[in-house]
Amino acid sequence: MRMEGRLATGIDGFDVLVQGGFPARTVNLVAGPAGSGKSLFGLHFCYSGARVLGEPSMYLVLEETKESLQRVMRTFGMGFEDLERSERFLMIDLGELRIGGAEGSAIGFRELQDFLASSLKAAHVRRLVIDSLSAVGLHYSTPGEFRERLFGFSRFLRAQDVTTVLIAESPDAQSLTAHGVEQFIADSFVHLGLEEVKGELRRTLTVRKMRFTKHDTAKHPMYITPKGLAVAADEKVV
Amino acid sequence: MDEKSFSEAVSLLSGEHSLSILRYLAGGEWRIASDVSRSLHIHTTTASKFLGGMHALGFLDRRLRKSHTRSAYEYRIANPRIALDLELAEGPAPLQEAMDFYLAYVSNVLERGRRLGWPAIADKLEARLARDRTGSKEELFSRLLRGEGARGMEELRSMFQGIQREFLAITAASMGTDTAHRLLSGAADEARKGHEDVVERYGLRKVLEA
Repeated sequence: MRMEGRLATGIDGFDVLVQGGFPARTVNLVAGPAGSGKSLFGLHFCYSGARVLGEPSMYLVLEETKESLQRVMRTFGMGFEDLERSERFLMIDLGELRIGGAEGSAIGFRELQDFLASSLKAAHVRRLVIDSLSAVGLHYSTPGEFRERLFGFSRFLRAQDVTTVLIAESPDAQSLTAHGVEQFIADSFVHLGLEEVKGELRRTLTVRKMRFTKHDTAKHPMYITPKGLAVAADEKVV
Repeated sequence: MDEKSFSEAVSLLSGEHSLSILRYLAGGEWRIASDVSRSLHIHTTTASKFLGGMHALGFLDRRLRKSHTRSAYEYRIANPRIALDLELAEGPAPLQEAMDFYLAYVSNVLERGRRLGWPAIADKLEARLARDRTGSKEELFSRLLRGEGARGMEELRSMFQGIQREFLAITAASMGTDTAHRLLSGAADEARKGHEDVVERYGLRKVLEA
C-alpha cells in the first residue's frame, strides 16, 4: 500500500501502527539485541520498496556477511537477483572497502558519507538501510567522538532525497542503544525486544518515537513466519 | 642484451681471428665466408662460423647470394661501432613477475567489484579490460617475446596506468573518489603479496596510485 509521504515497510502489522510507514526523507533507528530481527526488518523495508513499489533501495552491510543476509532473504521468499540486476535493490558489502583486508580498519561516518554522496545519486536510491551503526562505532575511540560524527552524518542523510533505516545493537536489557544517543538523533525509534518468558524467547516490537506521526506506543508481540516478520498489531505484551 | 647473448658474443669476439675479420668487414661491403678466408688466410669453416654467429647476435646483416652453380650467404657489418650492452636489471624474470603483479591486481579489482554487490560497476570494469584484448596488449606481448626488457617494463607500467585511470573514473562515478581509492588500494595491497621485491624495485605500485 502506498501512502502519501510514507514509506511502507511491508511488515505485516507494523505499518498500521505508524500511519502507513516511515515518513519520507527521515532517519529512523531500529535497535534491539542480537537475534531480535533487526536485519530482517531492514531487509523487509528494502525488499518491499524495490519489489512492490519499484523504489530503488540500498542495503549497506557493515557487520554480517552479504552471503548470510542473502540466505535470509531466500529463506523468506525474497528473491532479489532480478532486482539486483536492474539496480532496484543493491546489497553493498562495505567490508570490501576495509584497507588491509578483512581485519583492516573499520568504516567510519566520513567514509560512509563519501560513498553515499555519490552512490545515492548514481543509483537513484529512495530507501537506505545501514546495518549497522554498531560496526561504525568501532571506528571511534570515544563515545563523544561517535556522538559528534553521528550528528553530522544524520544531518547529511536528511539533506538527501532518501529515507533511511539505521540498525543498531542494544548491548543488554537495560540499555536501548550502545551509545545512548542514537535514539535522540533519529526521527523515529523502533525497539525490538527479545524476552524470556517461562523458558521461551518472545520477540516484541515497540515504536518508542516517530516524528510527524500519531503512532501506537504499546509493546506488541512479533513473530517470524515463513514470509518474514509479522507484528501482532492488535495484541499487547503486558 | 640478455646474459646468454652476452656470453655468446664474448666467446665469439675472443676468438683468434675475430678482430681481423671485423676489420675486413668494416668497409661495409657484402662478403661471403670464402672471401674472408682467402683474404685473411684462415680456414673457411672458421670464417663461416664467426660470420653466422655474429649475424645471429645482430651484429652482421645477411642475405642469400644465388648463382647458377651454388648459393651462399653473404654478410656485411650492420654498424661499424660494435657495443655490448648487458642489461642485468631487466631480464625476462622481473618483467614476467611485474606482469603477474598487475594481472593479480586486475583480478582482485574485478573480484572486489563483484563482491561489493554492484553488478553494473563490475560490468563496466570488465568492459574496460576487454578493450585491451587487442591493440596495445598484443603489442606489449610482442615486445616481451622479442626480449625488449626495458621497453617492455616501461610499456607495461604505462598500459596499467591507463587502465588504472579508467578504473578510478568508473568506480568514483558511482561511489565517490575516496571510496574508489579504498577499493582499488585494497586490491593493490592484496596483489603485492608475494611480489614485494619487484613492486618496490620498479615502482609498480606508484602507477596504481596516480
